[in-house]
Amino acid sequence: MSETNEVKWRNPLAVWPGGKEIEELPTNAWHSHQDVWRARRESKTKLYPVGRLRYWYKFAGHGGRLWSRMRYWPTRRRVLDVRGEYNRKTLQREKTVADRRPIYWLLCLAALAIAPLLAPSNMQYTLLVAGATFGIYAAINLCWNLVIGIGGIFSLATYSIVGTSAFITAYLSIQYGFSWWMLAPIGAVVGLLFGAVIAFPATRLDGFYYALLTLGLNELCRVYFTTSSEFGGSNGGLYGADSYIPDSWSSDHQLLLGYYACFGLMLAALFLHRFVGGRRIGRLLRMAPEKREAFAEATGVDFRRARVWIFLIYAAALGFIGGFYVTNFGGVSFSIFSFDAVLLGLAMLVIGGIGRPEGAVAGTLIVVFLDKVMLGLGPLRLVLVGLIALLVVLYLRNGLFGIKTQFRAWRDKKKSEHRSTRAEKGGEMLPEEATETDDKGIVYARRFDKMTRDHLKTLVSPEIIEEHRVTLNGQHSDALERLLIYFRTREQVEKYGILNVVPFKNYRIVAFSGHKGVPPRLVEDRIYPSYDAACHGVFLRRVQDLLES
Amino acid sequence: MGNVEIFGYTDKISVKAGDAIQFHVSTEGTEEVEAQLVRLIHGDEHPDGPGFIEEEVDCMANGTWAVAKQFTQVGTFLEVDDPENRLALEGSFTLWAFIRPGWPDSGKRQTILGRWDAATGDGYGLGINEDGRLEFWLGWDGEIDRLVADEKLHLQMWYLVAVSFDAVTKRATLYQEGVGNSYNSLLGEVAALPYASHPSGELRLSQQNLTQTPFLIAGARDRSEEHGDFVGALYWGKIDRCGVYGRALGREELDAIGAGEALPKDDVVAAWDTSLGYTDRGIGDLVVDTGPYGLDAKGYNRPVRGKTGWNWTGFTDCFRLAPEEFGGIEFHADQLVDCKWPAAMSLKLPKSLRSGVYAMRLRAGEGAGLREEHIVFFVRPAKPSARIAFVFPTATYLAFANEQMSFDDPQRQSVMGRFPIVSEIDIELYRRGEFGLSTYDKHADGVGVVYSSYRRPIPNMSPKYRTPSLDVPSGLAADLSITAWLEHHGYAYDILTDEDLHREGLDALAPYACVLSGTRPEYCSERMLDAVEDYIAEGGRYIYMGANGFVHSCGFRDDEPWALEIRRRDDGYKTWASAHGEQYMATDGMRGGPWMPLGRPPQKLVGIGLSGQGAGSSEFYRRMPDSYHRMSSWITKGVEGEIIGDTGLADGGAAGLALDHYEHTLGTPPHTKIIASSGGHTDVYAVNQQIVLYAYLGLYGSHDSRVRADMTYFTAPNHGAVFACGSIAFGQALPVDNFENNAGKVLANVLDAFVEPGRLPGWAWISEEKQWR
Amino acid sequence: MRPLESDTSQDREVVYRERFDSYRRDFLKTLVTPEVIEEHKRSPFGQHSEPLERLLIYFRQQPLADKYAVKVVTPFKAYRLVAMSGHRGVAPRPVGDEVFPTAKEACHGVFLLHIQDLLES
Repeated sequence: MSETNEVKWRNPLAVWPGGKEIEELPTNAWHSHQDVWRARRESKTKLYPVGRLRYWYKFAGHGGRLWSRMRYWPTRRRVLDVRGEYNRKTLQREKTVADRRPIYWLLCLAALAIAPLLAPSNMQYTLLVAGATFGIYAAINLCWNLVIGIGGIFSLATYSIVGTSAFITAYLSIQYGFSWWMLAPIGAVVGLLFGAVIAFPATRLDGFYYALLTLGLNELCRVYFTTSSEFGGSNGGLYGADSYIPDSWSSDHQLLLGYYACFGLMLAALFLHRFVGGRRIGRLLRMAPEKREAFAEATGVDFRRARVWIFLIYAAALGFIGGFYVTNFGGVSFSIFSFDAVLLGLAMLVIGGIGRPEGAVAGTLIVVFLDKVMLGLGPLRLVLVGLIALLVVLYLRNGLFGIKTQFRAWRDKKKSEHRSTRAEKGGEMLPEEATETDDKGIVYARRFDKMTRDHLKTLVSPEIIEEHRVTLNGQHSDALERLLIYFRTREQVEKYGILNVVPFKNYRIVAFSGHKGVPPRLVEDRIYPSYDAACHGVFLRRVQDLLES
Repeated sequence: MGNVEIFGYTDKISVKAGDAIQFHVSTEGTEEVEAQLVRLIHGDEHPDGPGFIEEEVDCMANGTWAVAKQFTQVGTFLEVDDPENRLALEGSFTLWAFIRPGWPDSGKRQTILGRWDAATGDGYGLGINEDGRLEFWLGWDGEIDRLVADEKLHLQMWYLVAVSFDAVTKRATLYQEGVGNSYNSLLGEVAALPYASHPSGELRLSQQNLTQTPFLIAGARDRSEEHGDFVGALYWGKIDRCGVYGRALGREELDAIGAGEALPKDDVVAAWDTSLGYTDRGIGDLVVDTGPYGLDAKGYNRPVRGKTGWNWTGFTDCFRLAPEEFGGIEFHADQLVDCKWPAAMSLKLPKSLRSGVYAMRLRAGEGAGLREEHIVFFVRPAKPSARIAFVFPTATYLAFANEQMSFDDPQRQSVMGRFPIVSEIDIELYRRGEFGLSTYDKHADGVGVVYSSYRRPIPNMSPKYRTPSLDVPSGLAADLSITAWLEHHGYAYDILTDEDLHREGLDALAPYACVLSGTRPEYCSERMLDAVEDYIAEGGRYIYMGANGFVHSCGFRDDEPWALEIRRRDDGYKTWASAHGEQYMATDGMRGGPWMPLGRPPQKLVGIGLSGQGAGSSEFYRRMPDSYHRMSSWITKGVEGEIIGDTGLADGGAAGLALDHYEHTLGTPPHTKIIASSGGHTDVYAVNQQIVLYAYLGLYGSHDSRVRADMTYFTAPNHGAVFACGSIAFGQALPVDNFENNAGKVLANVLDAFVEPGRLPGWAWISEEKQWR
Repeated sequence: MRPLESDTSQDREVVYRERFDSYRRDFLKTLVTPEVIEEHKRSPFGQHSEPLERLLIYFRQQPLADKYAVKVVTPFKAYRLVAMSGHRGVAPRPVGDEVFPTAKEACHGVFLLHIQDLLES
């Protein structure tokens, strides 16, 4: 580039009378923009094929035919949230089940319903007992989830409510001969009273303190019931309550009846969960999770009232389960108040993922399976439960059922890592990026812009900058004109303009927003004494932006 | 005669195997020619390609033909059907007409109307003399007397002119009054030239009316030894309502006519109402006489109708709205629609003739230059047999037929950015000036040419022809590069033409699995567009093999498919523009000009549309990110590297001449993928002015990203699909390196996939993306 | 000559165009250098430097009468130079008797003729 200084540009207007004085200005040696285009024969990074296979079937959609949407009576809920939409790659109509969870629920529940028929005969007993236990614990955990997941209140009083209700109903049955069908409703009343007692602190205390309080309550109950002679302090629990399982049945049938009764209980709990979570009260509570009560209150949510309500529902339901527990097992032991019961319950919730019914059920299934079926492992099984819970807490953000979201977030992170290493800044789009751009014109604009900048960067020289300072808005040399055309044709966002502060005295550089109603912003503090100086200032900023890109 | 020249044309452009076809030939300097039917394989003689290839085909007509020089009646006029010689006027009479002279000082006599035999000097006529003045003349056996107006007629100004002749006193009175308003003429009221002239005088004789002399409007009967009877003294410009009275009208009566009042009812011999006969779908060649004898006049060489009349007030811009204001008929002495030569040979094509482009090759002597003529015609199979069809864009060939822009258009070199390279044939065509013009040219009076036709020799539709302004073959010679490629690779294909598309619509395309367009299917009638659109929508696979396609409207009359009409207007590329009010086609009533303003930009049909054009240097395509998507990655399978089309017969690359680009704001289907794009075009390539709102610095190849060719692909309903190449030069890139190159590889991939029934490759890769990278 | 072009005695457009072109010629003459001619010889159809493009734009805009063109004698073998008549029906006249082997060289020949005319004007 030693010849650069020798090349002169002549102003074609200089020959006109009254034309500019300058006849010759130093300029760059000319070279074609095509040099850049012709040199670029391949991408700088390896490009991989993109596209995702359609390996599942989708119903063809339709827009013209009548499509009746079924609803669950009497709710406003649609049977399946099926969306009619078009495939953006083919423009073909297709039907997409927006929320496939109901299908999975149905399949899983159906599997549970026929599970006893498939159980191997030598395991029949173990499995059916474990199944019944699973049903009850799943129901308990679902109710628990109402306060932890939906209410956002960290209550550990769950087992104390179940236990209290169980002991009182068992006592009533043994002492006063209450028959089995009365026990669960009575339990519900007991639970309701219990709930009323512990509901009010929940409106006052913060998470950690409330957890401590309820844990204390649990301990209190345990101590009370173990030491009280009425509740069988001597023989480890109360037994002999009236059971709904007829004694006359064979043990196989008894087991089956227990299993299905507990399964029914779980279904009832699921229904309750859905009913509470999906209605107004559930939405109010989700508005007011812990630490955000003030905001919720400010928006008019009476979260205290909602929390009291959810507590009452939760406690009544748990009381009902307590009563059912007694009729199922014919009694109750003190171990229900033990700290390990609380921990095991917590593990179930954590493994599945707090806040989701499917999490509560699946977590319960895993823990009960380990605890009640893998008896051969001995105490190791509890270690295993702990280990799983630990791993879930360590690596998963929201239990097993949070894996999907977490996986997507992780994939997005990997994606941006890959892109930052592969893509050139301001360069051409990668095939992966292009799939995310609907307007393919932008894909080309990126290439064109890159090539143009590569060429224009070679045109920036002290001579050209000096030429601009001298000629400003006059006729320009080829190199300068090319730069100016590029600068002028940029999009409106962040395009520079000049703000006239005091006419003929005071000018500043601004950048336009490109959005209606959004005023330009000042880009620097500098004040230019003349319009010409400000114009050149804009040019210099533009050149700098170009060289930095 | 030292120069031997052969010219010819056929009566039909598209025939089926088994049809009859006629050849019309005129020669200079020879009485016989050697005829040989040939099948045209490749045209371009560029050394990088296979050169000119034709296959001789046996047929009955091969051999020596006896031929002769033929006369061509050029120019437009109206001939009055007067079997009872009502217009052989014996008594007093008045001739009157509204006229707008298009070229009063042409230096040649022009007849407005009359019954005049210039060869014998018998009859009478009203016209413009060599001096540019209104003149009435009459003659008796060669004895002629005349009366001349004092004021010259001014260019493009409306007048009412008349002559009243009293047979008793032999007094003739000329009437010449300007009837211009603010809209209808070149000058307005602020430039008040003297328009009126009313000379009167006694003539020495009256006229002799020969029985065989026809009454003509815009021309007069003449005769020469060489040509026999012909029409000369042709008129340039517009004639609106005109007529003949059987008495001498007075000044007041003529003033009343000029004021637009009702015509005097008595003694009418003929009163031609040029505004009668309009329908929403245009108007024919018949000019209706409202007089008592029904002396209708018939246009020859299609006088241009759908033009504004003397009473046009500018309120309506289309004859469909106020036909009474569109009585203007425009005449040009150099217009040609049909040579009407006698047939030199008639041939019934064998039923077994393979579909293809054929030509009757006529040679005299050594057969070089003008001593060889290829009379080209297109042969469809008797019944569709192949899965592939190639549509020759004959409407565009017609629009360009006998284009003389390198000689006549001072802007041509600027548009193409290069000096023209003309051939002996171009020069001869320009020198003769009797085979008509293209719709890109202007008539000698500066008015754009509206009609083109294939019933005349079209040297630039011959296989070797190179367009002078580009030095590159375009039209047929360029399209043969594509069919030669099909031929070389052994694809079975049928051919079709635009004429078939216009006539049969979807039925012409429906039998084929895949249809290929030509390199420049620019001109389309509504029916042609509908045919292509319906074909794609109903599951057809379409390969748009070029650029600048589906841009401009054109019209055909159903019974005269050989003649094409084009109106050009302010919103397109153009070498001329129709005047205001004259932008609707007389053949079918459609709006002339580009399709885009009517809501049919090419992007809506094939994904891409004209982005820019230029010449001199072509570029290559480089693959775009979408070509890595598995839905479309099969298109570039086997292409090494990212470059496509870095060689070619048209300026050395596959992206050149005219370029088409993707533009979703103009209706590119939203799922269209860009497979490859060109870039780095020279500044000779300017942005298509239809997508430019302002002219500013930087609308050229190196500055504007719209100047590019996009190769695109999208799928359509029922397994349909469209692949678009994006550039005219793409087709001419195919023959390089003995038809083995990366452009051809891409086309082969697409074609192989498109002819397979059922699903297209990549059909399953349609799920929403989940990207790891 | 078209009607509106034939009588230019009152056409002030012509007067202005003549002034414009004379200024333009004064300037363009200063651009003619061996480098520019060499550049055109090397690349008559590609992207051009500013001085060459300015010259070419001027040459291409010339009126048709006596405007230079290339006539092909034998395609891809022999080319000659001609000058257009600007009048319909009048064939171009031959210019010089040099025969160029390629279209590219012939186009450069046209360029040199234009340069010569420019310098002589």
